[in-house]
Amino acid sequence: MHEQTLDYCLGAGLLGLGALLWTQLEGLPIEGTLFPAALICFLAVCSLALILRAFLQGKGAVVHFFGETPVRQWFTAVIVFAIQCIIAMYVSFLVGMALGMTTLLILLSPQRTARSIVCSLLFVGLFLGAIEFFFSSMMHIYFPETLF
Amino acid sequence: MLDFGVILSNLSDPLTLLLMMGSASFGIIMGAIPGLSGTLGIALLLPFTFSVEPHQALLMLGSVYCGSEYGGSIPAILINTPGTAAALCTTFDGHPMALRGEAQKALLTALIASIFGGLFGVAALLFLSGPLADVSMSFGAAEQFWLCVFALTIIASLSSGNILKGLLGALLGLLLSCVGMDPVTGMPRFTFNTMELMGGINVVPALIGLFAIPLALMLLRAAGATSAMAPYVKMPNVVWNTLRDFCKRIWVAGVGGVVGVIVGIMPGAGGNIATFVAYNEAKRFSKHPEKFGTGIMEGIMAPEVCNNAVVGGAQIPMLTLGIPGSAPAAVMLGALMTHGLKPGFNLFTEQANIVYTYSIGLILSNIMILFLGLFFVRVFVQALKIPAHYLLVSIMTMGVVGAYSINSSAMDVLSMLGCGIIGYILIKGKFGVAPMALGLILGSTLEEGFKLSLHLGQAEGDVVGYFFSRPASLVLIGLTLLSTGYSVWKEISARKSAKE
Repeated sequence: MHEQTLDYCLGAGLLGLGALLWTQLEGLPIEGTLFPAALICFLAVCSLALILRAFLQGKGAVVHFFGETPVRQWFTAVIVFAIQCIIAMYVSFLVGMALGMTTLLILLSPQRTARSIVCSLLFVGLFLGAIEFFFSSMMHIYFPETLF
Repeated sequence: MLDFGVILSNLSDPLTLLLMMGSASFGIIMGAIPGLSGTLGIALLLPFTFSVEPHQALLMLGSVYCGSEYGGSIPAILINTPGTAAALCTTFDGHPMALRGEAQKALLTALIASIFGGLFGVAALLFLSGPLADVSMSFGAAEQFWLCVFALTIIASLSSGNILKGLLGALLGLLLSCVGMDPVTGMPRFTFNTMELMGGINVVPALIGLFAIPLALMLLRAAGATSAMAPYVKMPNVVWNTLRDFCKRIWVAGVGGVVGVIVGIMPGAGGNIATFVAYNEAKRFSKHPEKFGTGIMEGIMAPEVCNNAVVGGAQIPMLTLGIPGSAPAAVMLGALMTHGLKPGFNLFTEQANIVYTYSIGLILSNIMILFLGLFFVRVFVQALKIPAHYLLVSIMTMGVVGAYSINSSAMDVLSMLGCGIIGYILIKGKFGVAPMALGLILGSTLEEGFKLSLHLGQAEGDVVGYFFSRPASLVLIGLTLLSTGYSVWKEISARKSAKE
């Protein structure tokens, strides 16, 4: 993707976001809308300026959105992390974290041997143990255990 | 009555020193863990101070405050995640230094700068309490608004060569800060009729998302390598060399210290705004402003001196007027009252021994943090030896834990996740995440100052006059115009020289 295309997309996206947020201001008293409305107007002007500048400047450099990471690996890691967060918050923190961390470590490990898997499991156990000890036992910050 | 014998006796008590040491270590840990903060540390330690003498209690809480301000720089340098919002600017140069293999030097710079800033703030607390408290009384809502506008001029520095994208990032941050209940009318804004968004977007989880998640996603490519960052090279005499380099750039520390004390005494401003102002001013006065953001000592010194100088500055109005200058100072004020000490000018006469034991004790506290820091630096640089995939998973998990632990809210974790994705897109689009973080941090203070000024101006019958005619406001407006003008002039000069 060229820088110009990315700027077009981001400019349009920000304009869309501004329009979406503008609809949220309807029905509110003027005191509450003055500041955010001014920001939205400014955002719209700057987004149009970005689109115009991208148009005038030409294609520009090629942007590698995923860097040198294989696209599949990038998406897998992001999806696993998102699922890890959701399970940790709405099912069980320890189960979600343990499953997510172990899956990510195995997926990203340069070599998947029995030794590396054992090392990963040990690391996850120690890491979560330390978190539980410091946060729950010492700081009295308890993590969700919604279902079990 | 002030009795130096009593103060000396208080400060040489082994139990007091032990309590201070333990509290300072606790503060460093609280600051170093993203999501936890000095304010939380002080609040958690408060019940433990009920059984000790008032001066010991104050010194314990003061040590936590000082330690946490230093601790915030550690993850900022090592994993590009500010431990506290005030350590955000430290990431700009601290992390690039770590990536270059100079993590130890960066951590030592942060340590020395923190101690210098802490001592600078204490000196101001000891000698300038009276006059500075008078100055702080002239600061109202309009000045708060203009101070935020002045701090926003740093966008030009943060997005050098691409001010438009920097501005868009900051606007996005400012808009995100408007999510939730309007502070004046109490009406929900940008909540899309969801209860979860009523409380707004919490700043710290959003900062964790903006800084930690994109870094973790970028580490994905290095996951097969043995180390995610350049391994630090053990340099001989690194402590002395860093100290020598620090002394060569002492003017940066001076700028950071002055900004920290002045902004610290302004109620509601705090270290978050102060560090941006200090970083911007250090960059402006530098002979090589283009090197800021690439990993130079000055870029760590200015914010670190500043956020530690805020500690002393914020306690000036707290002790003299009973008005806290920052969130941790507000909790400290509660502790002060719990121990039967009434803030005000009488505190310095009736309870002089306690107040001066506390103020002088903060010097000792900073010296303890220096020695603790020298030990911790050796431990923390080992983090760079961790294989990339372990580091990546640890950063992601700590992000979740840090975001959740602030309010025990799943919404904070989701907003961290959302901000992480936005941060990654912004980095790829060459917007950078710092302007958005700046907008997010300043948003609520800016809006509050704006609305209060509007109401006060309406009450006085002259809104424009309230905004533009107060002497302190005029100084800040002048500084904003100078700052913007200078940045534009530098940008035009740079473009001209590039064309030639």
